[in-house]
Amino acid sequence: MPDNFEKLFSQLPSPDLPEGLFGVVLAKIAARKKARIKLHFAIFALTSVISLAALVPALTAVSRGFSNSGFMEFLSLTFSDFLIVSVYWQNYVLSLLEALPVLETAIFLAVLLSLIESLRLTIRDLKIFHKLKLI
Amino acid sequence: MLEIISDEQLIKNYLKGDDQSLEILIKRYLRPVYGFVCHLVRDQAAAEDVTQDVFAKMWQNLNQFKRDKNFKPWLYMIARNTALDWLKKKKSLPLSAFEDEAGNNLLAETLADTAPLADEILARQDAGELLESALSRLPLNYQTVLLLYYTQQLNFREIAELLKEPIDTVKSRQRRALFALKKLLEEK
Repeated sequence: MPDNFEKLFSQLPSPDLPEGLFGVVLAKIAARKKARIKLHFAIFALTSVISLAALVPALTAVSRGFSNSGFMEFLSLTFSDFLIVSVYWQNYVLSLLEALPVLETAIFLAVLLSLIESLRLTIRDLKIFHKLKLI
Repeated sequence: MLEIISDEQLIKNYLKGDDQSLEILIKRYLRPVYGFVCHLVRDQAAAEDVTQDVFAKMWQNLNQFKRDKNFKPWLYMIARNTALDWLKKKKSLPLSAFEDEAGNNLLAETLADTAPLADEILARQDAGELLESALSRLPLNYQTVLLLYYTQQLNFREIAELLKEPIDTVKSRQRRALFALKKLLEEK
């Protein structure tokens, strides 16, 4: 079909843009942004509190694990009998690894990382929220 | 400034923290999107609400926008879906002059008219209003293709991309839509 519809469509009345629509759109986005930041803030703040609370038992468990496994005694040999350690270093490293309380250490590190990351995100959200409030 | 930076660059800048880029992007598309939505929902107050929702959804999903894609079809996809949602909620999806109650198209298969649009229609003073009224009687998917193609200057590839349909389907729908529109215009 020959396309003289382009000419016809150019006559289609285009509605006038309501005054202030741009501002209303920006305000709506800002409101959703605030709601999103609030939600994120709540989630990260809660995670921070939980991580902080979990850090104490994790720390207790890891220190108990180190003292029960004899890891610190093995480690102290490095300072007291360095010569022997350097001769039998392969066996020494293996013993150190065997004595390492892996599970407790992993849990402790995970809790610590979670605390650091959630604190970082909480602070970031606080900054954004503060900035949005000022606008 | 508005024309120099590409849409994709503006999105990139916004995601890096430049809030002004988002404002430029909204300013660039506010009028055309509002016009498109207005033609679909046929209610200016509703079009305002739908347009606000379109841009709010755009903002919410900017992180998921794939940089290798075109922004314009993506935005119009949001606009079309939001307008459709509104029409569904209002239960006012228009039943076209060519569809029966079951939604079967009674006209498409019987059309074989290849003549151009009559000059007297184009020359009419009220051609715009005539077109608007004829458009409103078309099925929504016909209206969408015609509006995107003729008023928003999207090409077939972009329309196919936003409708998630093969390009040939879009081309044949546009052709059928034009036939149907011509028929309605000639009835007037």
